[in-house]
Order: sequence, then structure tokens, then C-alpha cells
Amino acid sequence: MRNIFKIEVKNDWIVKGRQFEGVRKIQNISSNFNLTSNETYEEILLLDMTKSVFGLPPNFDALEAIAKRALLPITFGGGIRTLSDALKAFDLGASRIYLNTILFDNIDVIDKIQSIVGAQAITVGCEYRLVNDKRVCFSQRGNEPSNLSVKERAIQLSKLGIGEVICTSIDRDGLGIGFDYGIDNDISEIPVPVILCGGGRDTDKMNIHSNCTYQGICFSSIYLDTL
Amino acid sequence: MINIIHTTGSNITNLYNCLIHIDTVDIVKRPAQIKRESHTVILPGNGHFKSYLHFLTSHGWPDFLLETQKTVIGICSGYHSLCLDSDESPGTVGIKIFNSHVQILPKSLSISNFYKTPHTGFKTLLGEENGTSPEKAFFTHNYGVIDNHSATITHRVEIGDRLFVAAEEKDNYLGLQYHPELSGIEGRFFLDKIIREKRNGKIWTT
Repeated sequence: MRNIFKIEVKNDWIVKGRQFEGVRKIQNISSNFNLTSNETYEEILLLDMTKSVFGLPPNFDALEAIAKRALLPITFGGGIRTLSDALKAFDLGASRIYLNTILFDNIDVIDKIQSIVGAQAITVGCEYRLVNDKRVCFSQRGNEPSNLSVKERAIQLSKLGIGEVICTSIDRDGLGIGFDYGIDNDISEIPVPVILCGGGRDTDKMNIHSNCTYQGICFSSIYLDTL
Repeated sequence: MINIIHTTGSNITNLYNCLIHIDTVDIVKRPAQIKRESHTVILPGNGHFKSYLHFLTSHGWPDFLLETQKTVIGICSGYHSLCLDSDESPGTVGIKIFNSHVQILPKSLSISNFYKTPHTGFKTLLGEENGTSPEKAFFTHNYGVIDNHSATITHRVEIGDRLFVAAEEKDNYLGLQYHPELSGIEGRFFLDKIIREKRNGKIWTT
């Protein structure tokens, strides 16, 4: 089971939000913190919280700062729109790029990126809320609902050549109440690896078995204290 | 000096940040940029086979790579480029250092819902106990070389119910399916040790 540390940034700060709203400042990205000596997480998911909302360029400064401190794979996202954005991210230390908002406007970007770097380097974000018992995907940092469920969107995008899907429950984000295990039926048919995100707590690490429909779990709050 | 070839879309910064603790590092696009004091050339990971080989051939690398006496380390896509060919781009020819065919990881490898491709994450390497390798290393790939019992294979990795090549070595060439630069401090120690041993002319695993 892959164990991933989600680091959210807003401009120069590592922050922690709650249900994609409001933030608590944790560390400045230029301050002295360590991401190399740990036995707990093996990958990093680095997301900027505001770039996609305001149509701004990706936060490459944050990527450089984290990449200098981590000898671990980094999935980087927030505001990536073009092949050029993606190639710059790989140059600066990303192992994979995370796409969500852009894919509601321009699905062709997947083909352009995967023809250069391969499908394994593309992660798709399914950021969802439970609406009338349906897991509805949102764009623009949880602000814009779509008409697609997690299952519909993930299967649709999997056919285009992607490496994995990160399913983030906005309802649970930052609450530490455990992952949304009710998503099991929605993700069992997704042909690429699925990562659960949103609400993770220490006890979720015990809920792992050979028939899991997900291949990784992503935590934020429990690892922020280790910085 | 260590050289990293700046192929399109590769993760050169991860490698640079890892290698700079070992020796001076220079990132190059063409063989003419490689200085005499360079002892190791690295083909980084990340890249579609067709795009990767297009970069190498259009920048004059195949002849250099075939003739050089320097240590050449290919990582993931870099390793694949040193093989014969790949399912990722039928018709595209590799550099042919390793007599291996790169094939797509079959979906039928799945022995439960848990196994899906791309094969991703930290996995245990299977090889000689006293050999130079990290115990676990980070993989992320849709394509790989199935274990064909070649004498050049030094380490293997179990994917589903099959064995695939994790590391392959021939003369001054080393192919790694995994990413040592993304495998924590142990990965850095491995690169440090293997580069030193290669410089000193020692054989890696035996």
C-alpha cells in the first residue's frame, strides 16, 4: 500500500485547509524543514490551493523548494494547463503531474503530455462531494460542480492514457474522520491505481487488506507535524 | 564529474539533487558537451519510448553510447532506451546495449483487485544478498523487461505473479527499472556506491 504525504501550498506557505475552505499556515516554503529522513511516507503530493481557481501559473517555486528537500517522488499540481507547464514541472522535480480543472475544458492535453512522458506520469484528480448520494466531481478547488460522478469520470479519463486517479473527498478534507470507504463500488472498475484522500487518520493505516480496491492512501494533517 | 542527459520531460532535478552530494554534476544535451573528466553518464527516467529515442537520435547520442568507456546508467525509460525495442512504440529501435525486449505489463498479472498498472510504489528487490542495491526501491512504469534468465540480469522485482527485471548490467552499462533518485537516502547511497565501484573497475554484484 502506497503511503503518500499531501502538502498543500498557498503562495509561499505550506497550509492546511478544511473542506477546501480557509487555511491554517504551517511553514514558509523557504524555512528549514526536512523531508528526507522518514520511515512513514514514501511519496509526496504537492498541490497549490489557489492557482486553478484564479487561472494563475503553477507554483513552480514551491515545487523547487520541496524537490530540494525530498529524495522522494513528487506529484505536482494546481494550475497546470499545458504541455509546457507539465514539462517545466518535470524539469523542476515532479515525477508526475496532477490534472483536474483543465480536464473539464481541454481533455486533449492528456494525449499531448503522455506522448512525451508516458501515461505513468499523469495523475488525475477526482475531487468530489456527496450530493444526493452521488459522488459528484468538482473543478476549481471544489467551487464548480460537474455532471460527472467519480466512477464516470475516472473510467472516461482512464481510456485516454493516465497513470492513476486520486479521489479526494472534499466533505472529509481536514476533518480527520477517516477515509470515505463507501467509495469502494465507485472505484473497483477503474483500471488504473486509485489513491484515497481526504479525512485520513492514523487508524486508516490499519484498514489494509489484499482485496482493497485502492492502491494508496494519502494523508496530510498527521504528517505536517513531522516537518 | 557526472553527466545527466537532459532528455525531454525527464526528472533531471531529482537526479541532480541526489547526485550533487556525490560529485560535480553537469546537465548536457549533446555528446560534445561531455568533458574528459566525466566518468559517468546518466539517462534519466520519465519518457515515452518513441519520444525518448527521437531525442537521443536527433542529438547524436547512439554512437556515443555504443562506443563510450564511461559508466552509463539508464533509469526506467533510460534503461528501456538501451534495450532492443519496446511495445510502447512498435517500429522504434532502441540503442541495443541490452538484448532485451521491453513489453507492456499485462493486465492479466493482476491476482487481486489490488494489483493494477502502472506498477507503482516502493517494492523489494530480489537479488544477491551481498550485492550493491537498495533493499526496496521506487518503481513507476507501464512497461518492463520480463525475466528471461539472462546472465546480465542482477536484480528482479515481483509484479503480480511474474518476475520482471529490476536491474541489468553489462560491461560499463547499468540499466535500472527503478528510480534510485526517488528511493530516499538509501537510493542516494546506492548511486554513490555503484558510481565509485564502477570507477574503480569492480564488478557490481559478484
